[in-house]
Amino acid sequence: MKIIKVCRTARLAVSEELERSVSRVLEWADALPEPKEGLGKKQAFPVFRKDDAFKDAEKKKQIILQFTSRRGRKCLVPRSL
Amino acid sequence: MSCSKKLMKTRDILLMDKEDLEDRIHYQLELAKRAEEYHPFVWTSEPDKVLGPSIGIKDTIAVKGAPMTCCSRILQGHVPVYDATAYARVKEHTTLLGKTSCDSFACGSSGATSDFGVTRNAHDPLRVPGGSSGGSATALALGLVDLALGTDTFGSVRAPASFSGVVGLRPSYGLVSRKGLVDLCMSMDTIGPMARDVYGVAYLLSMIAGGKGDLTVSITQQKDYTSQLEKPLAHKHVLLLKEGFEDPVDPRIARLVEKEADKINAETSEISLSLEQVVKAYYVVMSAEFASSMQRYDGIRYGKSKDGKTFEDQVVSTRTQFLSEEVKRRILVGAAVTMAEYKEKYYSRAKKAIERFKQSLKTTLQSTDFIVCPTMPCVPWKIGEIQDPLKEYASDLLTGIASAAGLPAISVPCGTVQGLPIGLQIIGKDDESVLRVAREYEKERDKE
Repeated sequence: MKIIKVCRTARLAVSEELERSVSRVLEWADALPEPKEGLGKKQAFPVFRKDDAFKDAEKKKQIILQFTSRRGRKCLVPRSL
Repeated sequence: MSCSKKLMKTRDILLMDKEDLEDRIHYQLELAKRAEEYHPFVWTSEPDKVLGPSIGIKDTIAVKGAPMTCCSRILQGHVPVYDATAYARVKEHTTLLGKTSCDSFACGSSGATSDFGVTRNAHDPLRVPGGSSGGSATALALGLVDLALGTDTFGSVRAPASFSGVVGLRPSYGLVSRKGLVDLCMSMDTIGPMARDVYGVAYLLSMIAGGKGDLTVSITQQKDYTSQLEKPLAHKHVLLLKEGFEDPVDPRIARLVEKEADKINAETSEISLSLEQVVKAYYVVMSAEFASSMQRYDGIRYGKSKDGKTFEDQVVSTRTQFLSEEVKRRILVGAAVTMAEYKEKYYSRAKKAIERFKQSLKTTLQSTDFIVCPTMPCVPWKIGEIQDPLKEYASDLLTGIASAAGLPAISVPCGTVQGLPIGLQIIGKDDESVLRVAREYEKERDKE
């Protein structure tokens, strides 16, 4: 990242420390997934509702995991989620 | 006249009907002392008559004739020539006590990074009040005002409400006019009501929401949100957000909110969302929009100015000297992510991520009514304790859901951890039902 060019666009003169922290923020934000992967419906929204997850997985003949939630409820979740 | 003296004078007018003079003076002195110690105001007014409940307005909202600095030195001396639509709606029914402090240009989650002094948490003066609308929350928690207006982009009303033990609502995006509000991220900014209880918030929302008249106002009808407030919702389904009850959320907060959520009389189940990615996407989009809107602060049109050999020198030295570190950091990040060579890598990807999140959340809410989780993942931190911006950004983990999707969300106090207030967050599909379920919870909570 050419910080000097960025400073010119932003019309700011910056200290080395600020420059370093800007690079860190950009590095952190760089981990955003490509649009085709992640944050899509599948990854962002596994809805742990017993009925929906179970029915859907059963229909697709997927492996179903069973676990007890912290609230003591039995949940069934397709492994694909 | 000092801030506290002006406040004393104001309270003198407000308390004219109190009979006991000695008590009154003691009360005024106590309030003035608190205002001086906790610094919730950046400017206080001297009203000559009482029009209704007292109100504090965040310093990023324009009030005609009152200084508006956005708590930044670059705007020192700037006085707006018109009222923000939200304030114009309330000014006939409330008594303005002052402009409340906030993070400089609303850039922060602590509420303690104003250029004009540190605002303190009303429950522990060594801790932050939550941000960015920290002054509004502290003024309410100390009893200095009855109502307050804040602004919420990614949690700036709900975070201070949670940290300070008051109620704060982020209305649906577009419900309240943004005219007269200084932008942080215009695609997510909202003006939100704050009060000490849900009724106060509903009352204030009824005044500021809806109506038409300018380009930045929604075209929805005005509505009285207090009329149905006491009626419980007949059938409701609540989803508990899984990430709100596990690491990195403080386990003491998770246990408390989980217990309190049971008081909402509803059928419950759980969902899981990729929140960290949403926070990253938000910081990319916000920085890009913020850098663009901050271009106008060049020392020529508004506020203070520094000398320079050329026009460009003058602009650069003004901005460099008078903008805070966090504001500069966000401008630089915004300028970087919108550069032609990085646009696809950051900005476009982040916009798409937020759009997909929004659509998915709307689909999820078709089969449920509310999502419940803690408002903040931690207790208010000590002033100066967090120096790393990434750590502060991470505290927006749970408030970002509603912001990214443009949905209404409310923070209601639900108890304390370590003697510090904790907020329970309710996210819903429409403002009225969110207020009603919050009121229902508030009544259940107060039974104990």
